[in-house]
Amino acid sequence: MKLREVLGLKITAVIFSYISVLILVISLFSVAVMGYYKFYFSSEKIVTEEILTDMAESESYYIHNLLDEKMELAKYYKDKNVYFCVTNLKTGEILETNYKDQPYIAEASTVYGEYIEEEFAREDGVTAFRDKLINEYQVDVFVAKNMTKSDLFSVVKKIISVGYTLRYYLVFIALISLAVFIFTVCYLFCAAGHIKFGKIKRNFIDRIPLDILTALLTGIFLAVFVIVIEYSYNFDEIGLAMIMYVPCSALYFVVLGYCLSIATRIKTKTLFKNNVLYIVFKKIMKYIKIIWDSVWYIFSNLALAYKTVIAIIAVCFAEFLFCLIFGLATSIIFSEYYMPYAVIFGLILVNSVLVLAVLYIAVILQNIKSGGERIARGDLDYKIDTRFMFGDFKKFAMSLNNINEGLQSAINEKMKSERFKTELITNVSHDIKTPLTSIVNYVDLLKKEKIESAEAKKYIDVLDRQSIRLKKLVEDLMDASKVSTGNISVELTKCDAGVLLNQALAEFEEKLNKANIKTVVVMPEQSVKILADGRHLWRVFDNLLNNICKYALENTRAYIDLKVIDKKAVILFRNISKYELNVSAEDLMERFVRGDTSRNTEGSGLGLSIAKSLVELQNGNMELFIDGDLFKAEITFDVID
Amino acid sequence: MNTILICDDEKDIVNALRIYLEAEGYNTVLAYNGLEAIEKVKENNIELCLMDIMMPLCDGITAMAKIREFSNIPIILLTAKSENTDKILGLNVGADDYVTKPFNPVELMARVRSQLRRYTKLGGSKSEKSDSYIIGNIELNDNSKQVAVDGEIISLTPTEFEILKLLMQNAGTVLSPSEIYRRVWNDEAYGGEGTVAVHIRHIREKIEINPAEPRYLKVVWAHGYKMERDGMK
Repeated sequence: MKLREVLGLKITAVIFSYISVLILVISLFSVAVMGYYKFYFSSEKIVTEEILTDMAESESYYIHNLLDEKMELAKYYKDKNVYFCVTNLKTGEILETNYKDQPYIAEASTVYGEYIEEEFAREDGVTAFRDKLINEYQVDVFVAKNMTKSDLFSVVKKIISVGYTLRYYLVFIALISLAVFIFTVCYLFCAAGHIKFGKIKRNFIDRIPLDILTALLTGIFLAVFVIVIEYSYNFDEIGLAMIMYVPCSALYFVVLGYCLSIATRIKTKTLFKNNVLYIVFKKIMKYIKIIWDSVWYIFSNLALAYKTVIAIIAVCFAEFLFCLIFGLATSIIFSEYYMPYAVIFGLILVNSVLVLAVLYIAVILQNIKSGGERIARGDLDYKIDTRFMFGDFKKFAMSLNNINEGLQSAINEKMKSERFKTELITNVSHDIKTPLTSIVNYVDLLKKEKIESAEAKKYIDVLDRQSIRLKKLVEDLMDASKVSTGNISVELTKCDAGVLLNQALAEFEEKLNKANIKTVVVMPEQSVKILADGRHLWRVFDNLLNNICKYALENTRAYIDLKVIDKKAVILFRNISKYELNVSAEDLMERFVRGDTSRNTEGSGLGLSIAKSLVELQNGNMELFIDGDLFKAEITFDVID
Repeated sequence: MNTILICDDEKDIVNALRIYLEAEGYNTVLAYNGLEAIEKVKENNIELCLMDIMMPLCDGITAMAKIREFSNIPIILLTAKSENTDKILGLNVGADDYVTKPFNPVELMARVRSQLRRYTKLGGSKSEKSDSYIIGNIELNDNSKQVAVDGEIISLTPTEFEILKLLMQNAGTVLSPSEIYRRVWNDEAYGGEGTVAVHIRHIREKIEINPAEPRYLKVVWAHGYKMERDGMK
């Protein structure tokens, strides 16, 4: 538990501070009084004499009063350390006395009498009135040197002697009490608000709004002091001091508590918040903000055109107002003569500000425009700097940046999946081809073994045939997946379609002869140039001619045409199907769909699909047509010069 | 006989190749990964290497690069990859030839024979005559009108011979069918390009081990034909 959390200590500190203040006030007062009577500059004797002389003077006045009331002076002064002698000044007769040459330390003599009004002639001859003292008598007061009786004089003399001895100690006491006061008050400020476990908590008083508290306390104290001052004339100095003591002490405690409460408020950061004025101000600000927000909401959701209109109206109005005020101010301060010039000057001033604003907007628009162009060009890392933009411009620039981010992530995603696909194809290809190699090789080795059984030989032939077919199927499958996922490099160059067709036909010459199919080729005399990748286009022709060899009816003609129609190179393959074509052209183009439903011929069913994909990769177009048994494949490319 | 290193991580394939090669009369050394292959090449007097590409520990391309640091024996890559980039990479690093899996045993044997003949017999034994052209294992003699592939005389028709001669004279250049026609037939083509294509296919069938994947007489699709300057390299 920390020191500042101990309640007893706090109470002790409050009491100590109070006592120290009390001592401080008293000692300071004493020191001030002693300073006034020159305790610090003269000897005790002189000081005593001076004070007692003062007292003797006031005593003489008292005697004068008593004389008027015809009191017995001798009886009255029997028990006092004072002697008196009243002498009539005119006659020199001693009226009353008890002084018989006793030794004295202080003496005062004062003249008293009766005032009457007397007429007299002034130097200018006018008669005037003046006061005149008559029946004059002198009162001599002597303070006894040896004070044998106890009265005010003996007490004062004692106090003076004690005070004189203590005159330096009192200064010291004042300083110490000041130190104690400062220390305790510091401690109290530090400890204010601290309760147990290091928490700072506000008490009941700290929760009262500060302005209310201040007003309340000020009011109460003003009332109390007004009442006290009102009745103060009923009391002498000591009585007044006694009466004032209670409200002053109360004031001390209240001021201390008030200051400590402020300390707590500062610590809990509620000094300003816990004010009625603050709360009221905040409430008002809240409503103003709600109104402003709704106005702003309406404004910001307006169409740009309306916003512009409102902005222009506002600008015009502001311009008008500014010029008006500027002109009026000029005419009032200087002269009406300058007013038109002032208005013109104001217009120039406002408009130069406007020009700057418009330029600023233009720069923002320029930035957005160039940023948009860069993004459109594919610079995906580019970000428009929106730091100096505002409102709709900022929103627009930020949505452009967002588009950029979206594009970027989409591209990254696509690239990732492309890489994944390529890797998958490569790995699957390796994993399938390795066992296939073994199968092909060992079937071949089996064929070379001397096998007696004719059946076994037949079976080996089947294995041989089917393994070769499997090999072809796997290769086609790999090609199909590569082509359809676009995992194939395409280098488009200027190609001669006629040359390619001739080359392809030469490759197939023998095969077509074997299948008893006659080809009828029609192509233009001049060369037909297209933009394609020779290797891939050969693969397309390869697949189509293979299809003709496999599926064309024996002893028929296959028609192969190369034509140029409307700047398009059209390559046509037509043949009569061996099998009944009861599938649609679209279905034929699908993977694994074949013309023979029984599927007893070799072929993977991928040829047309690969061909179509390859043609499309080279920006060409391939279409199939079926008319009864007539099968027609049409490839179109753009002719280039 | 010649010693051949077979390197593949698939034991069955290594074994099948061993059977084929030993049937042809070659000695064989076997390895099952790239590191082993490098060791075996160092230890034995290997004259040809059959190497798979995708292998654990050390792949075929890396092993080949290492072997090339100290040896220039012919290396034939066996690859399951059929992407063109892989082929080009293999040849740049120093492969002499490649076959794609699943390969045809007969074709592979022919390639082995061809590479061995080049490696063991070539080296200027045949004098450079002014009227003879040699590309890889193909030798064309203009005087005797004879063409020998891997040392064996093959029979070509006079047109085929002229076409081959023209292509060998212009090795490395693509000649279009119409140009070939004009220079061989000394006439304008007028639709005779188809004839050229057929002749070239016949030549390929006679001089190439696998006409569908020619080593010497390449078909540049849609443009023409070209004779490689020096076989695979």
